[in-house]
Amino acid sequence: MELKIRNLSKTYKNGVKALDDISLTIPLGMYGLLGPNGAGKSTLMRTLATLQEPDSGSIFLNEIDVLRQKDEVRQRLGYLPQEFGVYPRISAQDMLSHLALLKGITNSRERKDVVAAMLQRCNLYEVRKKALTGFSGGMRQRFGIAQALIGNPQLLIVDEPTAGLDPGERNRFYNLLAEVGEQVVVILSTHIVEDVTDLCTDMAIIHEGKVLYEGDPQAAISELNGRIWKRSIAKIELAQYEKSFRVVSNKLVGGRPFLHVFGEEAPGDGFVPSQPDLEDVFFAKIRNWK
Amino acid sequence: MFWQITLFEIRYWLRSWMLWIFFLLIALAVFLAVSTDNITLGFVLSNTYHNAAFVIANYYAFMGLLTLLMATAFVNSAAIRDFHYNTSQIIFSTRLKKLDFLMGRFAGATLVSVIPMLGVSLGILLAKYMPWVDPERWGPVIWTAHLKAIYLFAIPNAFFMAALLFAIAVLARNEIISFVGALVVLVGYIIGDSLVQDIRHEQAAALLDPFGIRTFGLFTKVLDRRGEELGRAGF
Repeated sequence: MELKIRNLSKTYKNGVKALDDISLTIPLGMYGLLGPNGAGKSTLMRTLATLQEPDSGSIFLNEIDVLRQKDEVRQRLGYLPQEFGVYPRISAQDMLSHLALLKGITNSRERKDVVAAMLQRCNLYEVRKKALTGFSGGMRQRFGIAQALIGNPQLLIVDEPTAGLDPGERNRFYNLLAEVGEQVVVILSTHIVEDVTDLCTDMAIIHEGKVLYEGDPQAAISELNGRIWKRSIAKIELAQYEKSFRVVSNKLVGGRPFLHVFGEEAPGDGFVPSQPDLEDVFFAKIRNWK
Repeated sequence: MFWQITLFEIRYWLRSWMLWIFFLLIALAVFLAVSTDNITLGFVLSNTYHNAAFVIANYYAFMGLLTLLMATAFVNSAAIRDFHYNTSQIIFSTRLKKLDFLMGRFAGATLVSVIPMLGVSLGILLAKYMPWVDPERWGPVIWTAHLKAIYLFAIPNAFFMAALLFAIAVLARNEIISFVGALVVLVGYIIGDSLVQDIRHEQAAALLDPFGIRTFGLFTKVLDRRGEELGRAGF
């Protein structure tokens, strides 16, 4: 199973160029799609999920033409959108069963078994009769992944799935994804760098509708070896440092700004070498520093 | 898939308080109208049993006006639920068949629109046993008359209104436009009503009445409402 995206472009009516000649090859396994909010990730995800048409370009899932053979794709698709709602007065079990029906599991006995197994797997079995509207963020997101996994998809698209989850919930969610990630194509879109570091073997960084990097996250990190420097400064110095250095990131550590800067050579001025991480890669890429 | 979607739609509404409030309101209105002389609805008769076949049909026909508003609420929700609750992306990326999906939702919401009308029967059946009613004015319960009124008025009215309003809702995806559509039908009916004041248009008005109220009125007007003619016509 492999997903090939070629020269995909989409411009919205208001002039926003959401996808600008995007080409990606996405292999089996967990694939991270990293980009700031508004980078075009959701547009790409919706296009892959057969919900939206691009202006030009092609997408193939093995031999299936995603833009034309929609039913073939939907047969193999699991999709967790960035934001989704639920019907009122409907329990997790009933809603999941309804979605399983729409996904083509028309035999009611089979559907019952599939739904029960999925509720177990996503740790929702105890609350299966509770109304979805009363679910917490983590439970709702687990319901989201449960509905996406119903019908054994070969292409799983999850759009910003960990936004709003606490660390424990996020971990449980990761484990669910990692379980299926070995046999199917999983595309995980996120603006959270740790999601990709922790889970993905391949990734792409997209920004303003363009692919800035495609490949192995570790390779991208090693590219930056010896080029990231760090130090902590006083708050009032921040503006001046941002002017004179190429600041990759600035975080507060103990209330003081802690800078990562980019530079081929040691910048001096108290900066010491820092082990680069994916966050440095991300910010260096979107600012186009090489 | 069609039947399962229909059943899902029906189950969805059976859990809704809106459905049962409509049902009880209609039951209450009819109950008060038949058990007291102070409230009247539709064609008033003083010389029949309060639970005569004619009276039952009369209330089912007249209450059909309310079906319009209730059916709007049900079919509008059935048509735009996925946009309203933001489930469209999940639902529309499944393998659902458009025709099965829309027809299932429509059939379910239509059948549900019939349920509140059954309040007419409940109201009439209960009123008979109230201590303040005059037993001389109540005949035996005629179950076939209830059934006849349901298939003659409740089901066709629900189907007609639901079909019209579902089409509007699917195309417009907007609650306000749906209710405006329902109001247009109602206003059209009231304008028609004023035309009927002129007896020369009586027949045309009876044929054009979407609820069948005037049709029923004209059809039974010429018959002797106490006597056998009405009985032979099934009322």
